[in-house]
Amino acid sequence: MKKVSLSLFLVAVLSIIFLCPVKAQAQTWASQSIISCEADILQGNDSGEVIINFTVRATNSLPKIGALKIDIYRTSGDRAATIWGSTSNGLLSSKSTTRYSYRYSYKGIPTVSYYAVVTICAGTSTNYDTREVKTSVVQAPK
Amino acid sequence: MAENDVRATGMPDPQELARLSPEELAQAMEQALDEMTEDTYDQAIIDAYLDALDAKTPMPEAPNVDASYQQFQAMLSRAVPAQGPTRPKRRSNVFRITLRVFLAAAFLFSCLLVAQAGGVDVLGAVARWTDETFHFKVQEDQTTSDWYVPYQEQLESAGLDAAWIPTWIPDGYTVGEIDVDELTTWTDYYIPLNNSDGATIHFFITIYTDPADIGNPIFEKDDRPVQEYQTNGKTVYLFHNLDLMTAVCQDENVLYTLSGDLSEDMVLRFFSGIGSHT
Repeated sequence: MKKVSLSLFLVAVLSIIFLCPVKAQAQTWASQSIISCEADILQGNDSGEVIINFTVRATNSLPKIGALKIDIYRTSGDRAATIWGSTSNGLLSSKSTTRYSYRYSYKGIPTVSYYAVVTICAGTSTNYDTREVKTSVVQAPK
Repeated sequence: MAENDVRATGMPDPQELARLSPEELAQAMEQALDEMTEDTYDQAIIDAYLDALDAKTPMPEAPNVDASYQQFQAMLSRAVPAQGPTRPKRRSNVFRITLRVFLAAAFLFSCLLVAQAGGVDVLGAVARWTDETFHFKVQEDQTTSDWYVPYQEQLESAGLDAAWIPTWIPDGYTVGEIDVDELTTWTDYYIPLNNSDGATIHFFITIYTDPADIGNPIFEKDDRPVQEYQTNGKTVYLFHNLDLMTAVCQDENVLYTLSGDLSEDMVLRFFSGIGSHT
């Protein structure tokens, strides 16, 4: 009985010690420029097409806002493509704004599963915050 | 000499002994013994008295131990009702009980801490936050039919339904130009609240068609704790993001975000002015 009580106590103490640090994640600082951001991936209508949606909500109307890049990966971890953001391809806003969203279409291989890592940005042209948002996995339609 | 006075001058007359009572016989035998010396001791005389006594009050046979004990138990059972075997009482150990309670409390507290790191259940979605970010985590057993509310059918192409517009906005603020982004799985309405001094409170209404996407948005925050409030049937989360504050509230598949120079009173009044969609 003493051994059981001691074991239970140690489990409780270890739980407190090791599970509390779960709260710390990869991001290490709050953002002066970003309120929130989100991204997802889903099947498109065409064969092999996947759609990546994202939204950035900023603390103010900012000139550089949108996605710096989108990395598309296969579930094996191999990177299938990297799309660099620009105002011409629509990943970056062409004007200062507080909130920017975009819907990007990628032509992948039918039946192959993909996920995306969208690098969000918001700030001035020389001083901006970035965040990486990883989507779930989707299978490109036949 | 009395008629019953028997002298130990010789063998007593058995007929005379028979007339004496047991007490008189015992007394006479004692007297006879007193008159005897070691030289004049006569066992036969004593036997005569003993025989006479035995004839008057026969000595019971030597008692049988087992029979006597059974008789005693029978007498005892009649006097006292039978009781089953009783367990010895354990001495209460206050320290042991206290230790068990403490260990149980410590274990439950550790589970609570895990649950805190995991978040709080809010209408089917679990709010999770760290020192740096805040977001909702959708429970896996939610289905589309549980979440979908045909808000979009109620909205006009460029505007919002009156039910979505908060009935109260902070003093000195006016509603600015509403901007709408329509994506595949969510529609995001941006409603700026502009102050005459140039400050802006940003108000976003995001409506999701896919219940899984309610967990997509990640909110920036610093390491100050998240505050929770209940108002108008909804839970409002308020947290700091450096110089600004953000208030987040989820109602079914709708996410409200308020960000700017906020106060607790302002946030509570603001969200209490938005009706519930359940």
